[in-house]
Amino acid sequence: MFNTMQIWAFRDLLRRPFESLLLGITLTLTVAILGTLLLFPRALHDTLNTLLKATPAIVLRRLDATGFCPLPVQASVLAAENVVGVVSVRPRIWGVVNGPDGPLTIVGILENKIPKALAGKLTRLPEPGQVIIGFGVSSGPSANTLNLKGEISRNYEVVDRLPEKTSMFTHDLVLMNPEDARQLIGLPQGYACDLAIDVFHENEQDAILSDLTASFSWPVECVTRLQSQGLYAGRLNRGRTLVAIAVIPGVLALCLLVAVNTRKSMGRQSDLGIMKAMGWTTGNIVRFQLYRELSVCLPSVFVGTCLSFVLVYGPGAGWAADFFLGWNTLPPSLYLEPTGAATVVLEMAGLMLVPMIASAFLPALKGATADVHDMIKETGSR
Amino acid sequence: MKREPCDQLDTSRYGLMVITLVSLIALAVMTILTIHTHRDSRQTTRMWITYLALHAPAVLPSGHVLRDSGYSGPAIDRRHSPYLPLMDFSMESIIVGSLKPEKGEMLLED
Repeated sequence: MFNTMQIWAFRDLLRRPFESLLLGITLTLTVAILGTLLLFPRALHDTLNTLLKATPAIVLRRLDATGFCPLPVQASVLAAENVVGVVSVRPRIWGVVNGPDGPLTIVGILENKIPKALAGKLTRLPEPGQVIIGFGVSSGPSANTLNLKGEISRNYEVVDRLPEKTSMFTHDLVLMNPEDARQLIGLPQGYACDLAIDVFHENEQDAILSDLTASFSWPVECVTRLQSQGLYAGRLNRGRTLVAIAVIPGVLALCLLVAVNTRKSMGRQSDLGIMKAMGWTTGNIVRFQLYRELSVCLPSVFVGTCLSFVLVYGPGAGWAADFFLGWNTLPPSLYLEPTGAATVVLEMAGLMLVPMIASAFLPALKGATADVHDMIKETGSR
Repeated sequence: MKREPCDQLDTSRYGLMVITLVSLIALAVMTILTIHTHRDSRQTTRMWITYLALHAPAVLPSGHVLRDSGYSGPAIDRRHSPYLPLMDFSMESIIVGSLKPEKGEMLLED
């Protein structure tokens, strides 16, 4: 199973078992921390990009001098549907209101029946006075009622909860009857907050914007899905900057490890001198050093990478989200994108293995041209 | 008495190989379970996004600063509220109704 050279390398490691063990543990932890720091924003970016593809192609809002304002449903839907390329137009009733522990997003469900896709996930639609709440919504002192304050203040009966695994989008949502939602945000009858528009082809999002804007008799603002993706990518980049700051100590720890390993290897010239005196060639010593380092580094990198995967993807990055982004109660379920994750693993492997192995080669290269007698005379750990 | 040779490791029980094999199998099972769970989670989330026509994720801070604990509790920071002035980023003002004066108060005028 193992050749003689590998057995020599193992035995050399076992001459200093605690030193080898400590090096292995340190490497594992460094890889795990660095891997987690690099994987977390990547996973978040991949997850959001994937999910944003399900969002409406265009969101259209009416503007006036004070900002966004309600738009009349019938006239707006008619105007949007007349634009070539528009496949569906859905008015939305939603807003931000005050809940027991802070702001919440309310959504009025306009459809009368549960769609087939959600038949197993949703048992009933909220009647007047009832709400379905997201996983992160705390209903206050009573578990069955939720007090909301907007234009009016009212208690609602909690009839269901949205699944935890949809928290990425539904964490703070409160679903309610459209009439309740109107009353709560002060929306007149026959008006909606905005329109969610779907187009036939992805590229049409930008192409039909001018036609869409021109079809309304009041100023409107359109946000396309591509713009949203760009917006969130920008916000994630700000988060990445914070992560990069946290990576610096990790890289510093790696540099220190390499420096210590190099110094330790260089201090073993007498050992290498004895090997050369016994007839080992420089090639043999290089292979010996390679096996010696790989037998510590490879398992460490493997275990460290697995740890970082489990920390980011396994239980949900609840702790990482709390630490880096301050999400207190959110357990986002991040999605594994093999391509992106593989890039990070290769980065990690390169970042750790190359300098560590290079540090082991230095004494072998130094000893290649050195006199055997001089090498043996050097102080070392025999 | 014949002595055991010192130039080879005792690999008779293949302990290292068994440990590696078991670890790899455990890792594979864990990966398959994780991928399965995530796929289900992704599909469910997409169904809800489509049904409710959501367009803003709940997890990203959308103000000019990252979320901090001063933002009152577990709820999410602002999404694009339909009733707010475009350039107003204060947390208090994003609650519907808070931009309007309380009953009996006068509007501030320049």
